[in-house]
Amino acid sequence: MVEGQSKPLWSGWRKVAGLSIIGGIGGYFLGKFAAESVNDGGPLANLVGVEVALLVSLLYIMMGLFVGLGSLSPRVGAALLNVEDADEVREEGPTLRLSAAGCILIGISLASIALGGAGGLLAPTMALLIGGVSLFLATLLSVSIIRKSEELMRAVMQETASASYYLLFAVLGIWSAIAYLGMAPAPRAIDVLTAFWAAPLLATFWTIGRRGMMAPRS
Amino acid sequence: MLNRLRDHREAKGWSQGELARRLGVSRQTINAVETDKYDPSLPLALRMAKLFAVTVPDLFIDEWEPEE
Repeated sequence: MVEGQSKPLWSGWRKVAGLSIIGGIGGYFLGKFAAESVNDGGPLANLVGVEVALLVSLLYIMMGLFVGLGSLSPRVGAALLNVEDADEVREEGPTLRLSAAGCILIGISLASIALGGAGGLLAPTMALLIGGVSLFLATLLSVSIIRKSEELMRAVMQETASASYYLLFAVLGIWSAIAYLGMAPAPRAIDVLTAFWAAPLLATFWTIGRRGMMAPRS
Repeated sequence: MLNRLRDHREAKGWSQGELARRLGVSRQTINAVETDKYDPSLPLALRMAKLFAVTVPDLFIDEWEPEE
C-alpha cells in the first residue's frame, strides 16, 4: 500500500481481531497443556507457582516465535505485525529478529529455572546453566536493541521500565506486607522470579496500549 | 499534541518512510507523531522544522497562553 493513503479501518481491526482470536485459542491450549503436564501426577503437582512461571515462559516464547516468523518473511510479517507494509518489516527486520530471539531466550531462562526446583524435571545445576546462559545472551541482545533503538522506542522502554517498577511494588509489596502480617502465604522464590518477568510483559502492553500503538496504523 | 506534520509531509510529496529516512528515525515514529500518539523530543522537533523550513510552532500546535 502506498503511504499517505489511508487503509480501510476495518481491515486493520480485522487483523487485530483475527490475531487476538488465534492468540487466545493458542494460549488457552498451550496453557492447558502446560498446566496438565505439570499436574499430571508428576513431581511438580500442585505447584501453582511453577505453573504460572511456565505460562509466562510460554507467553515469551510464543511472542518471540510470532515476531521472529513475521520478521523472516516480510509478506507474512506485514499480515501478522502492526506495520504499514512488507517494506517496513524489511526496514525493522534486524531489530525485530533481535527482539524475537531475546523473548525466546527469556522464556527458556524462566522455564528452565522453573523446572529445576525441588523435585523438578531438570537437575538444579542444569537448570541454572540453561537459565543463566539464556539470560546472559538475552541481556547481550537487549543491549544491542537499546543501541539500535531510536527515540520512540526508547521512550516506550523508559515508560515500560517505570510501569514495571510500580507494578512490582504493588503486587510484591502488598503481597509481602499481607504475608508478614500472617494473613496470606509468603511469596516463594519462583513467585518473585515470575513477577520480575511478568511485570515488564504487562507493562509493555499497558504502555503501548495507552499510547494507542496497539491499534491499526492510520 | 496536535501537529501539522502530515500536511507538510504530503505537501512535499514524501511518504512516511521517506520522511523517516531523512530524519533518521523509524517509520513508526513518524506515524506516531502524525497521529498524536507521541510528542517528539525537542531535537527531533527542531530537525522537522528545519527540514520543512518552518518554525516549531508552525508544526506543533500548543493552545496554552500565558496569563496576563
